[in-house]
Amino acid sequence: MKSTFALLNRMQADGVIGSYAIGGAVGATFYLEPVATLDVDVFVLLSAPAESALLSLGPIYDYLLPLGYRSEGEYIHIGDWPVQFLPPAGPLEEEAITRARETEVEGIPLRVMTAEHLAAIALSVGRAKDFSRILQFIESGVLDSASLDDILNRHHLLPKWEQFGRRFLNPDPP
Amino acid sequence: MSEKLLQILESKRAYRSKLAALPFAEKIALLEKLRQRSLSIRASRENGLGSLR
Repeated sequence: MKSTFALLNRMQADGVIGSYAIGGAVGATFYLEPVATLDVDVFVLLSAPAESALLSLGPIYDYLLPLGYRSEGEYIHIGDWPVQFLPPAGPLEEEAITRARETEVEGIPLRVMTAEHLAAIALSVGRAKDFSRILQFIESGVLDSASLDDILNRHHLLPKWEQFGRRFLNPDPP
Repeated sequence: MSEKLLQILESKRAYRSKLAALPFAEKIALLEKLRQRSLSIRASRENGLGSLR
């Protein structure tokens, strides 16, 4: 996976992508115990705005395929890992990229979404595994409640959060 | 909930906390192993070995 991280920095330096942030299970693993995943989700801001998400990924493919990287469906294989490049679906993902936490893995710089943004995105997606991840974040105590409240409020997710709380945190007695 | 079960749950929680506290590079290495294991299990299932016990 380190080869993926190094390549992301190179793509950014070469102007193929603007900024980026690791999300999904790999991003969550920065804060939590490792969870089995088969791919790496990389959220990217493209250098040039495009008309559609599909079109916007064109420069990434144009850059990577001539270098010998193989595409398969929505993935590009980098090293041993299939990597999915994801343009932001809306303001929440955009903010998650721009406010990502900067860290490094064995000297390789890396941007990882904050725990609060990962939790907010999980809430907005709302699959069973997303709810499970939110519960892991809560149990681990890594979430900054003021920061999370701010994100949920600005992105109109408070009703969903209250619904989540009623369902999983303070369920009504049967 | 029995005391034994509470002990097991606490032990699991402590182990998860220990894993979460590892440096990210070590957690990445664990992710690589987990992925290989998942792929092996998937391949076994596809080869029909998953039904053997």
